[in-house]
Formats: sequence, structure tokens, C-alpha cells
Amino acid sequence: MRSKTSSFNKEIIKQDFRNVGWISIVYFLGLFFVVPMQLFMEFGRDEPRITDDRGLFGGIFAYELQSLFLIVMPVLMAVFLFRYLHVKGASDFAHSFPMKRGNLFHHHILSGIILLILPILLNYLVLVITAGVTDVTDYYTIGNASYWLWLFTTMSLLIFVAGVFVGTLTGISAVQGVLTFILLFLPVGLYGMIAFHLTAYIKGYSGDMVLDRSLQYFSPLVDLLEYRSYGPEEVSVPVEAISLFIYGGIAILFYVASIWLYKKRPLEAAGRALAVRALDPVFKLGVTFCFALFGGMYFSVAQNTYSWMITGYFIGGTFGYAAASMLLQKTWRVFSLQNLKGWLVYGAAAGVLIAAIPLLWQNYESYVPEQDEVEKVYISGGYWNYQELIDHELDVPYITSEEGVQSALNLHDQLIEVSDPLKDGEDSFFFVYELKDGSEVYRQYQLSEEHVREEKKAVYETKEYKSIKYPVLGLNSTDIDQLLIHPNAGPGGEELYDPEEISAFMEALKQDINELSYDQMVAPRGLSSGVSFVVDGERDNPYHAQLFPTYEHTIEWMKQEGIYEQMMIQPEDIQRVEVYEWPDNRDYVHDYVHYVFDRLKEDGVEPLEVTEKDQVEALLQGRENQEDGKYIAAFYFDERNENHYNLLSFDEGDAPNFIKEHFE
Amino acid sequence: MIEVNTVSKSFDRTRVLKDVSFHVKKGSIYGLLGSNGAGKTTLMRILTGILKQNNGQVHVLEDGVFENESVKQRMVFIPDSLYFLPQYTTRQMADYHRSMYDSWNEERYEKLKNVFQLDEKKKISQFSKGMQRQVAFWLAMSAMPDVLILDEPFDGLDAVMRQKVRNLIIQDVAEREMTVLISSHNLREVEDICDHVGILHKGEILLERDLDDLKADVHKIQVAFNEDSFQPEESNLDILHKEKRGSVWLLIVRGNEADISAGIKKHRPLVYDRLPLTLEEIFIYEMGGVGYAFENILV
Repeated sequence: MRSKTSSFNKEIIKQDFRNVGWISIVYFLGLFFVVPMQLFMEFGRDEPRITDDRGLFGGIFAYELQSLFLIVMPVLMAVFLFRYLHVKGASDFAHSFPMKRGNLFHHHILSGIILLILPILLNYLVLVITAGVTDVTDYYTIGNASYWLWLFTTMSLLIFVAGVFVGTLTGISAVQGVLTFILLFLPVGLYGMIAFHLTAYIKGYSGDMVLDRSLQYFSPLVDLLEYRSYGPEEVSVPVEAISLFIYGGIAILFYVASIWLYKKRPLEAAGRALAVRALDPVFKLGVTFCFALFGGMYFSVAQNTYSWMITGYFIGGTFGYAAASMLLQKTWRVFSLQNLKGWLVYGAAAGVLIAAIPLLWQNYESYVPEQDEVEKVYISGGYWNYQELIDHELDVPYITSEEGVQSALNLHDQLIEVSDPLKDGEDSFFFVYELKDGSEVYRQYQLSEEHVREEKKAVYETKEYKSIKYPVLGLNSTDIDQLLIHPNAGPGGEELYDPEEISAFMEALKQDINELSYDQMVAPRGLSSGVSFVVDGERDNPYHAQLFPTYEHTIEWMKQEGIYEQMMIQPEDIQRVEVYEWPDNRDYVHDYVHYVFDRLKEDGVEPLEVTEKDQVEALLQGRENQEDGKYIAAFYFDERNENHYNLLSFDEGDAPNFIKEHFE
Repeated sequence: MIEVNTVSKSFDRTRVLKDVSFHVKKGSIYGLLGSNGAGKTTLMRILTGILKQNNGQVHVLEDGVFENESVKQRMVFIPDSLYFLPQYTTRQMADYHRSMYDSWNEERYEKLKNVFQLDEKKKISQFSKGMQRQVAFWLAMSAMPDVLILDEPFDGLDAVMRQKVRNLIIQDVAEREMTVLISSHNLREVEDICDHVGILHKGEILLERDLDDLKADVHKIQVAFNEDSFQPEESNLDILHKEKRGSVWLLIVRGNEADISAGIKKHRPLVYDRLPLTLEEIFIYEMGGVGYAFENILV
């Protein structure tokens, strides 16, 4: 018997090129028109557009469009290349020939790799040749183009082998396409949903932070799509080098899993949703679980109670189970007794899983570091305040003193005691501990202030906390190029440029802030003015401050400079004040004062009008932006402009007597 | 050459083949008969290494078939629903086959071009069903297989082409001792080509027979006797079927021809005729004896 000279078969590759070559051509043309063609057209422009250091990932090369091709074409390639596995005739044909499955698989994989890399490589060559012929340094460098080549190759292959893996797993091409995208997004979706649920169950768990910090690492697609080709962020590549290595590794894993599955998969699975029977229960449970989580999330967004969440689990899980059964059995008619039993079993299993997730975080909830473990601690009203500092690469103001740390720990203890993860409160706390062993601990709580007033007060009164709450304390007056003071209500405003003036103003402001009492910090009174800064030429920075009438030193300084009257609202600026009673019924969708005020106006409630100067002055002692209170005072500055007003509000206790008397 | 031992196969929870055993000798043409859904196609897909059986062994050319390149090199399968690579011409398909089979014979391919008279540059999808089947034979015969497996091969061929294909097969069997397995739901279609038949019914082999033996073994006779002295039950004949019309007996008898005529002659018959018997009748009587309504199986 003659033996085969080589296990390589040119005809299979040829057939693949005939079959799916068009995908390669579309990929090439797509990238060509988006990248090199754009470059050529750019040469022809009279006024070149502004470019940045993103190079080929930048705005003029429409990265968004590039990434669309990058995500879609490899999946198409996988679907069409392995379509033969899903059609009985084609599958029998391919496998009746004297060729081992592994070998056949490698031929197709090879075709796929060639057909995906070729369009990228050709475009890269065009770019390199262009760079050799003419000056393109305004647009990209060879290094940038090579990174582009690397990124596109790695990501194309990753998405392709993920598609192939799903293809060997299923017996229907449409399911392959859909499942591939689901697989690539699944980790993010699961991670996000689990983080959401943990936020609802676990005291102190900061879903915001977990999602913002690491979400993109859970899906190559999110990683690709999250990148912006414009804007101020200083990210110059969509996927970092280290991630590319990891994705390359994952691609190899997918490849190994695919070939293993390909050899195992029974060919009669063509046309079946899942090729491997043993995976049916896994698939069903997975879909039931995910939909239950999703249902729970959906209902708890609208109705923040456990009973609604459980309803959501039930509805979502039932839907998921039915959908999975329909897909596996390929029929709408799944309402049988057998499926009812399955529904109970899978429902119970999914329920156990969901219930088990929070249990894993048991220790998490009650954990408070020991005083002597803590190096330093940061506390703020939320994760975003913290992240803003990180994004701007600013020093995070930590509490380091022993008393300071102790006060933070006390507050933390009390928060664990009284907070409820499902209940929103107007007050939120975000903790970052840096421990002596180098590890970091993050916690976030939300609740009403009255439960932790004592502990909160202790923290607030530390000098260090003031640096956190008022970032302006950390701002050197010498770094300020320009300073703008402007009343939040009413016209006017003053810009300071003179370094001496700036320095004097800052000194007074810092002194005022350092002297603030707890009450003044949490409930400042009066109509404020804003202070914003231009630092190192940048307007966008976290240093903005509010200037209240109680800031004596600053007010004094402004009076000396003769700008006080312009900068702060004076009783004389106010034309009249309308006072309303805050309605007792809380049927409104929102609680905040502007919303409530708008409703009162709409309803035509008759207000108390105040114009007398003494009374206006008394009314200026109200507080801004409250969500609860007894009276609302609206200050109008100009008779002709009804839309220009500012609001302050009063509690029962602090309201001036004349309004109490009026509304009695 | 082909040995199948207690093979079982299930799809999901449905059993398609139950303990199927049979064997095909080298150089013989074996007809696998069975009604629709009997499991013929499944059995053939297992025999060609496309599917893997759940139990039992399948040996072709003294070796297992599944994932065995050297066995599959010498075997060609023509399925009942033909498949050709999309948009391919016969010439391109031939190149594809040539790259797969070491034994591909280009001379043979050129010779067969004259037999089939088809345009090799035309896309196969544009051919009629019958022409496509000719292309499949053309390709299969050019690969010079030692084992040829045909699933419902004559479907869609006209009488002339049928004869041509039949002759081609027989020629290869005679010259090269090619072994052929043909499945069909129609006994008449294969009776003049097969030397062995096996009947597959509901996933089980009901019987296997050598057709020459069978024809020599079962006889239809018509006898009449002078007096009513003849009692079929008392004779020593192995009677499969009896019928009496007036004084004439119609008997289907199994056994050696000489023994039968000797047995009859003892009773001094007035008339003694041997009538021709079709293969279909043989099966009906043979199986009727085992208690199956054979007509329903092979229509």
C-alpha cells in the first residue's frame, strides 16, 4: 500500500480560500479605507487636522470603525469556516475522507489564521512603505504601526479561536455566532451582576469601585470598546502590552480546548444546539442562574427591597430555564411535566448558587482592621471623589495620626452596626485603608447621617479629614495661575491674577476652612459663592471651593479689597423672597429642594412674600441643597426675570419665627 | 473484509442499531436491505468511520475504521444525499479527491469521462440529480477503492445509466476483487447484482443469505396426484408454504432439488412442474416462516 507523502493537503486550504476568502477581502478593504486611505486623503488636505499621540488608534483613523471590523470579521470567519461541522451532508463529506480529525481541524485553523492575518499585514506593509516614502511622523511612527499590527493580530486570533471553540461546542451556526459574543462578554456581565448583588447584600461592598477598576479586564471586547480615540485621557493604546500577552495565552487555551473538543464531538451533533450532551445541564443551569441574577437586578433597581429581588430571581430564572430548554430541544413546546420537574431542580440549584454568593463574603462584611495594622486611611463621600484624585495623579490626602485613624475605625464600626446595604441614605462613606503589610482595604456605606453623627463628627473634626473634604487645602497658592470667585446666584464675579492677592486670599480661605466646626461642615448656611482655580494652565481639576458668609477671614479680606459686595450676595441684591411650606406628604418622585419647589409653583401654592430687609437677612441663614425640611425660601434678584432665583431651606428648629407664625 | 460485531448505536435516547453483526467477504457484493428508518444509513456512516458506534467492533480490511487513515484510504463512500463542495466543477472535485486518495487513478478518470459524457468544467450544482449521482460514481471509481460503500446508489439513475454503473461495479469486482456494500429499500433493485443480502429491520439484522444458495435451496413446485394419498404433513419435505387448488398442490419447498423430486416421485404424481421463483417470493416465504410480514419491510 502506498503511504501518503505528506499530511498537508493543499486542496483543503484552496477550498477554504474559495469559501471564506471574501471575509478576508472585506476585512482588508475595511481596514484599508479606514486607515491607509484616510492617511492618503489627509495628505491632500490644505489644513491638516490636529493629531495626538494616539497615532493609528486616534481620531482621524476612526478607531471605533476599526474595532468594529476587528470584532466582527474574526467571528464571521469562525462561523463560515466551520459551517461544514453544522451541516450534516458537509460534515459527512469532510469526515469520510482518509484524514484524521485533528489534521483536518489544523488545516482549517491554518486557513483562518492566514486569511485573518493577511489583511492586517498588508495594511501594515502599506503603512510602513508609506512611512518610507514620505514623512508621516505627524500621524504615526513605525513603533505605533507595529503595535497596531500586534494588537490587531492578537485580538483577531483571540476572537477567531473563541469562535472556533464555540463552533465545536455547538451544532448550529447561528448559535455559534451569538454564543461567541456572549462568551466574550459573559465574564463582564457575570462580574457586573455579581458585584451588583454583592452591593445589595454585603455591607461595605463598593460595587462602584469594583466595576470601575477592573471591569475591562474581564472581556476583550469591553477592553477594545472602552477605549476612546479622543478626549483628555492619556491612554494611547486600546489594549496594553501585558493584556495582549494574556489574550495571546487565552487564545492558545481556546485553541487547545477546541481541538480536544473537535476530536471528542460526535458528528451526529450537526444541527443540535449543544454538541456535547454532558454540557446540557451546565448550560441550563448557567442560563437559569444568569437570568435569575438579571431579573433580581432589574427588579431591585426599581424597587429596592428583598421581596422584589426574590420576585426578580423567580421571574428571571423561570424565563432563563424556559429559554434554555427551548434552545436545547429546538421547539417552543417545552411546557411538559418533565420540564416542570427540571424547572424545580434547576430553579433550586440556581437559588442555592445565588444564596451562596453573599456567604462567601461573610468575613468581608464584619472586617475592620486593627488600629496597629493601619498605615493610613482615606475617607470621603464616595468612590468617585477618590478616583478623581487618582485620575489627576494627585496626592491622596490620608489620615495618618493615631487619633484620626481611631476615629475612622470607630466610624467604620458604627457603620457596620447600623447600615443596611439595600437602603439608600443621603450620606455615604467611602473608606480606603492602606495597611502596614502593603495591602489595601476598600469599603463603601450609605445611610442616614443621624445614626452615626457622633462618630462622623469625630472624624470630621480631625485636621486630616478636612484636607480630604476640602482638596483646596492641599493647593499651593504659588501653583495658581488664576482664581475666579463668582456668586452661585446672581451676576458678577471677579478674577484674581496677582500672585500676592491670590496668596492672601488662599491664606484666609484655608484659615476659615481649618476653623470650621462640624455643623458648619455638614450644614453650611447662606447663599454661597464658588471659587475655581486654573492650576498649571488647567481648568479641569478637583480644586473648587465654596465660600459661605460664615467664612469670616475671607469675607474680611474681600471687604478690605473692596470686592466683597460683588462677590457675595447681599440682602440688597435680593428683590424679594417667596417662602413656601415644605409639603408633608412625600409623594414626589424626588426629594431635592429644587424639584419640590418646581412642583409647588406648578400647583400654584400661594407663598409668603418677604421684602423687608431684616427678614430677608434672617432668611439668608437657610441651608442649600437639602432633601428634607420644613420651609423653602426662594430668593429673586430681578423683578423682570422670574427664572432667576436661588433656594434655601429651613428645619422646624432653625426657621425664623416670623415664618413659623405665618404658617401656623 | 468487512466485519461487524454486535454493533449498537443510539442517537440521544433512541436506539438506532441493536447488536448488529454481519460480514462481507472479499470480492463480494453485499446488499443491505431494509425499509425506511431501519438504520441502513447509520450503519454505513459507522462503517465509513464518520460516526462512532457505542458498542461492538467494526473492522474493515482487518482493522478498526474510526480515525484510521490507512483503512479509509482504501474505502470510498457514496451517501444517499450527495454532497459536493459548493460551486465546484467535476474537475475541481477530482483534484480534491486526488489530493485525498493516494490510489487516485487519473487514467481511469479520463476513461470514465467517455462513459459518463459529462462536462467536467461545469459546476456540479447545475447538473440534474441523476447526473450528480454519475459524478459521484465517476469520482468514486477513479479513486480505485478496495471497498466501496453505496447508500441507495441507483436512486435517480435512468435504466441505461443504471446498467452502465452496474457493469462498472461488476467489472471492478471481477478484476480487482473490490468489495461492495450496497444498501437499498428495494430488493428488485439489487437482486441481479448482489451475491449476498442481509435484511436490517428496526436496527436488527433479521437474516443473511447467499443468494445463489438461496435460489438453489428454495423451490416452487406444482403437483397433482391421482388419489388423495398425498398428505404434505406426512411427507418428509420441508414445506414453507402450501396451497391446494382443486387437485393441484402449489408447494414452496426448501431443500436439495434432487431430494425433493425423489420425495415427490414416491407418490407417483400425475403432474410435477418446477416453477420460477423470484427473490422477493423467496424472502416472503422464508420470512413468512419466521413470522414476519415481509411485504411491509421491502416495498
